[in-house]
Amino acid sequence: MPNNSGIPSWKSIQFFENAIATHNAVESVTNRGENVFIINRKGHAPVVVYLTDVYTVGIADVIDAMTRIPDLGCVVTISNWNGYTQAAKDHGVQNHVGVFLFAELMGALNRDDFWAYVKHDDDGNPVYHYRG
Amino acid sequence: MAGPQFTDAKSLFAFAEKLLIENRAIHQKYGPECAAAATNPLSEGAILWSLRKCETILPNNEKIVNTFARNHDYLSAEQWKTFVEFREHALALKRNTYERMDREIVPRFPQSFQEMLVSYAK
Repeated sequence: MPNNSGIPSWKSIQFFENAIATHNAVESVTNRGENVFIINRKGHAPVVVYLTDVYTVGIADVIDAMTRIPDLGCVVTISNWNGYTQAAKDHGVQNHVGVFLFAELMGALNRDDFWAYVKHDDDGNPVYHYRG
Repeated sequence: MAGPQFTDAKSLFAFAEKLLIENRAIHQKYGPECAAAATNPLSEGAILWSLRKCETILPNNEKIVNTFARNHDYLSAEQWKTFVEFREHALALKRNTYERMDREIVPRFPQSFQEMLVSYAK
């Protein structure tokens, strides 16, 4: 549930940890504190995720997370109601930082270049979450 | 669409309040802060929210904006100012629906507008 602070609820964090742990490519998940998680993958490099619950991830959020977390791999906003601006997405990709909804992260974890992962619809068109 | 012409502010406010009741019901049931979003972040309720927002909430907001504009003669400067807060929220919500913007610049629904409608109806 998005909120003004952007801090995910305890329930959302639990959901995140449980769901990630069931992913085929994931070996383990470590909570580093302050909503930063290290996802250790089988046969791929670990991914450092900053988990949030803001309604819209903007470019300022991405820059802020990159500044605070030098080894950042992804900014993930947990709820399906959430999304991101195109500027945030583009800035992330340029800096090898994935900007995702949780469901997108699940697809991205299968790839070495996880930050560039884009989901496609049944017709093969890329699906972004630029709309509110 | 200009919206209906009224003969006093009370009728105008009652018209707007009914539309907002509908909007609130949809927001509470399917919006980002609904119970389903709290329990299941991956819920498909988000799709329903997008649909209901486009089908009902945005058109209702537009009806309110147009009707207030048509009946602005009945409003004091203070009431007009309160309406303008709502209008800016409505326009930003619509824009954000089609292309998300940084959340800091998308004003949330102004409670002052709701309070104005309710207090005048008493």
